Amino acid sequence: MSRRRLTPRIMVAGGVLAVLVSASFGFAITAIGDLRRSHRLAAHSEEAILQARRSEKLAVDLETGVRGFLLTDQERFLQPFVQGLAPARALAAQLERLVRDNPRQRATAAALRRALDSYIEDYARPVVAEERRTDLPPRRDLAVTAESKRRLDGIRAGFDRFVAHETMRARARQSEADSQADRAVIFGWIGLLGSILLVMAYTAYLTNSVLFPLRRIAAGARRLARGELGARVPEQAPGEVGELGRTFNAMAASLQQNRDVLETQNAELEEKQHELARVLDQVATEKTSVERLQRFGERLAQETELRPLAQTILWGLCELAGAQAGVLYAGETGGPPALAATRGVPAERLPATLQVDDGLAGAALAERARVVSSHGETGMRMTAFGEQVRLHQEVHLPLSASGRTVGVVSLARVQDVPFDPAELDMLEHLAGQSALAVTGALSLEASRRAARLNKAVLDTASDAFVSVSEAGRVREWNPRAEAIFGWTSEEVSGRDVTGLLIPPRHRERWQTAFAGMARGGEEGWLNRPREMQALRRDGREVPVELTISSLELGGVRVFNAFIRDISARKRGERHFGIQHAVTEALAEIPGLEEAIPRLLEVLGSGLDWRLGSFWLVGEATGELRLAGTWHDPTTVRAAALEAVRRRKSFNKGEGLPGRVWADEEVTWVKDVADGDSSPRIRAAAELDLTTAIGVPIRSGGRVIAVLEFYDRDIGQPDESLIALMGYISQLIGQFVERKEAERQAERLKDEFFALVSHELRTPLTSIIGYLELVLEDEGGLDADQRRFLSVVERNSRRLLRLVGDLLFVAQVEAGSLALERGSVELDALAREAVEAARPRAEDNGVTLQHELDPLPPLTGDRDRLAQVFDNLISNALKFTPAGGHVVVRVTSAGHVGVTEVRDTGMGIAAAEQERLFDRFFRSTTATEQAIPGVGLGLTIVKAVVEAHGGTISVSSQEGAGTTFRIELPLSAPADGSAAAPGVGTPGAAPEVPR
Amino acid sequence: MNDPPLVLVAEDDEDILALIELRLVRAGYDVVTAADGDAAMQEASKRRPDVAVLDVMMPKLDGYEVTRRFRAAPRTWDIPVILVTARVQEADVARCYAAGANDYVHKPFDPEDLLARVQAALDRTQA
Repeated sequence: MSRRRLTPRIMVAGGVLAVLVSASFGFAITAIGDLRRSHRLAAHSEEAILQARRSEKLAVDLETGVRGFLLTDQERFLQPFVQGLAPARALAAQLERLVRDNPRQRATAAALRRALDSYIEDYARPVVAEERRTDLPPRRDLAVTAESKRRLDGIRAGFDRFVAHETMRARARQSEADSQADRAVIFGWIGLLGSILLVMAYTAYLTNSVLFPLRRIAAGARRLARGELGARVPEQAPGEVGELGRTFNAMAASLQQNRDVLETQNAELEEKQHELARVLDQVATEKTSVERLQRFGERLAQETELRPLAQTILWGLCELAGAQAGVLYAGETGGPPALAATRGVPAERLPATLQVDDGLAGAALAERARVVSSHGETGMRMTAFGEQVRLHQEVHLPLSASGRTVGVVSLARVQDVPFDPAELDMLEHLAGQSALAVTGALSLEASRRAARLNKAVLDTASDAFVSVSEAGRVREWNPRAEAIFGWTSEEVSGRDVTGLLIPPRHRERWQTAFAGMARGGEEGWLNRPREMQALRRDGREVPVELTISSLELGGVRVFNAFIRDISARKRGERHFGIQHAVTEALAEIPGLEEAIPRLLEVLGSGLDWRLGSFWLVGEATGELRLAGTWHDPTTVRAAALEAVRRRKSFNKGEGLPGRVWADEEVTWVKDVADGDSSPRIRAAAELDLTTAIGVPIRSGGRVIAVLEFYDRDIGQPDESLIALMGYISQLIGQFVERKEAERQAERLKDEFFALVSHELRTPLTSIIGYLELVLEDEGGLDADQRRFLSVVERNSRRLLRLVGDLLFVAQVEAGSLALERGSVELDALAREAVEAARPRAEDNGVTLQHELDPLPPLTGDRDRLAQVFDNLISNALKFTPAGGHVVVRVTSAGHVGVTEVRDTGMGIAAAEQERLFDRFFRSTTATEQAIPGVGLGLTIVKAVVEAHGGTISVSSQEGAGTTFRIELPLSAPADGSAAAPGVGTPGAAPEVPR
Repeated sequence: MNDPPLVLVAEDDEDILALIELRLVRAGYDVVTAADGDAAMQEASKRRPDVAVLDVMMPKLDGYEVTRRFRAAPRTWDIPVILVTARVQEADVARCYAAGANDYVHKPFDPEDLLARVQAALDRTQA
């Protein structure tokens, strides 16, 4: 059967049925429609009849009204007329409308209306009006009323006709209506029956074709729904139903198939689900373990102190490893780790430090690898509930990070379940983490120690330490800074250091330098000590030495300074400077009196005092005499001093100087006016010099002088000042003593010289003098006698010379050499010396020559210069063996006369050349060869040469010869230029007066 | 011919005194001697010398003092004085001149030198 066949059939059947039913009902409806129309028409006619009767009645009313009025002549009887006027008209019009479908009736109605109108208009109104006007006689009234009645009868008749016709129409309509009703009923019955039949047929058809198959299908579906996927339905149904059945079967088959497939898939899914669940379990386990590790890590991060950290580590590891007992050793590399935490075992039983060979833990430490032990080999036990429980499994892990091992953690469990590799790996990993944390804690401890040490250093430093920010705000201020500057650390924190420490006059310069340093420049201010004046809290200034350094800490620049209070040093320097100045002042001065002004100045200005006086003890007078005064010209006017200086002497015990003399000690007076109202003191007070200090100068066990100083504010002398005063006093005292001793020595020396000079020379004078007399006498002696006496004379002269040399050398030593001043020609002198020595040279077999240029004269001591030549030539001859040469050269070189004595003698060893000019120096050659001489010759030569302002030098080579070279300034240079300065001799005798 | 110049020689050492006297006499001078400062003053007052040669170290009055006294007295102030001294230090030399001496020689002296100085002193006064 084709797919669509059922539908058209049903449709057709249905259509037919519908048509029939519709037709029936159509007929029925039509009939009913007709019926209704007829009925309506009938009703319409009824209505018209009614209206007509009403109209009629109204017309009657009208008539009655008129009649009544006419008869009674009373308005009240006219009421019906009046009242019915309008309605009558209206009704009439209405009536007309009602029957407008029927021309006849309409004409009738119209006529009626016209009649009515006429009655009213043509009759009633005029009559009434007339009646009202005139009050008509009764006869008239009767006539009128009769008219009225007649009219009315006419109208009524009309109405009757109307009604009768209308009634007839109504009846006709009614009978038509009845017949139509009958027809309708018939049609209805037909239709009804026909419909019923058709419907039944239709229904049967449908039921058969559709319903039963569907029911079967539904049953099949129910079975299907129940799960009997094998349910099938018959397929032989027409059209779509059959289709449905087939489809159903197909669907059922498909469902069955799908179910099978689904079941298979389901099974797979279940399997997968199980697996997923397994995996989730695994993940959950891992997550737990990761969380535990993370917790472990977090707890680690929270601890920074070593002990709590060790505790946390140990506890955490025990928990993670399921260990009941554990020990942790940790410490700095370089030393054995120390016990840091324990669990389950008492700390007292464990060694305080872990040595490298100490059991399994030590092994772990040494090898830097984990050590596992099972079955309680080490026999470690822990106490649990009072019993000793054996620990079966142990693991020892080194705590290593970045290649450094900082400790060992040992874990042990009671259960005899070995640690599996995964556990061990995890523990090792955690041990690594722990090691990092421990390293951190150790570093923290170390830096804490360093910081404490630092603080201790700064706190106890003998220098002030100040640290400021880039902007110059104080950051650090150590206790010594508090002591020096008078500010506490809290008071200065954050304040500008320039305002605190720098005196106002320097502030600008400092701020500029500081800004420069902050920018990175001003290198010269950094890292080298600077001296400056700093400001104290009380406004006074203190000299300090400071060294500034710059440091960057975490991106921030700070400036650090170590500051030393150098006031003591400065004071010391000043005092030393004063000592030095005093020593200098006393150095070249022949006597104390000459030194006084300088001494007062040095002390007064050095110590910043304003007025000073020097009093000398006069032994003869028994008084203190004013020997000198000094004042500071910037603060004390000279004129004002006069009153103070007027007093020129004091007795012992009188006034400050006298008191110092009597008491023989340094006296400090805080207020000079206290107890002393002398004019001198009053004058001093007026000059604002109210404090004073007096210092005794001692020499030879007694006070010889008193120093006195005045100032506005001489502070109470401290040790340093008293020491200075004592030292000065000592210096002066020693000076005086020394001078005295010098004078004494001088005197003694002079006396000695005088003695030597006189006592030695006097007899020699006689000896030589008389010898000369004898020898001058040409004829008085024979040859032998003459010869003998010559020997005597010669030796006497030699003796005299020796005495002269000795005295000369002594004078040179004493610095009191006296030289003649005369005009000397060197070349002539040289010639004479050479000639005088020629005999000797010939005797020795040495050639003696001279090369002499004429020289302008020089100013000097002829005898002494001659002696120089003699000595040099004599030496040359002494030390030159036979066959040698000696040459004496005299030339000039500009301002200088040059003399050279050259020999080809034995020469002088280099080492001995230095000492050649020393007193009594004899070369080894001379001693060995017993060459005569005392060793004064060259000393005298040098002294004479230098006394003339010249120089002497020697060059020599052993075995080859020696050359002595002398340069002497000439009074007029050879080339005629101006005389060289310095010509002449120091200490020379003055000109012979004329 | 004029009288030879008179030289006053004062020296406490006899030998040296004799020596000087001899030299001067041989040179043609007239000589009067004294053995100490006092005697020198006496001799000078007795007969005014033309030049005096005085030893510095003498008892009673030393040569300096005699020189000073000469200089202080109108009669003798312009007598040239040559001091003979064994002391040769600068201070001594200065002292000679400070005392008012015109010249000095030191012992032992070269007789020619002494004679020359005496002559020079005389020449000066006569100049």
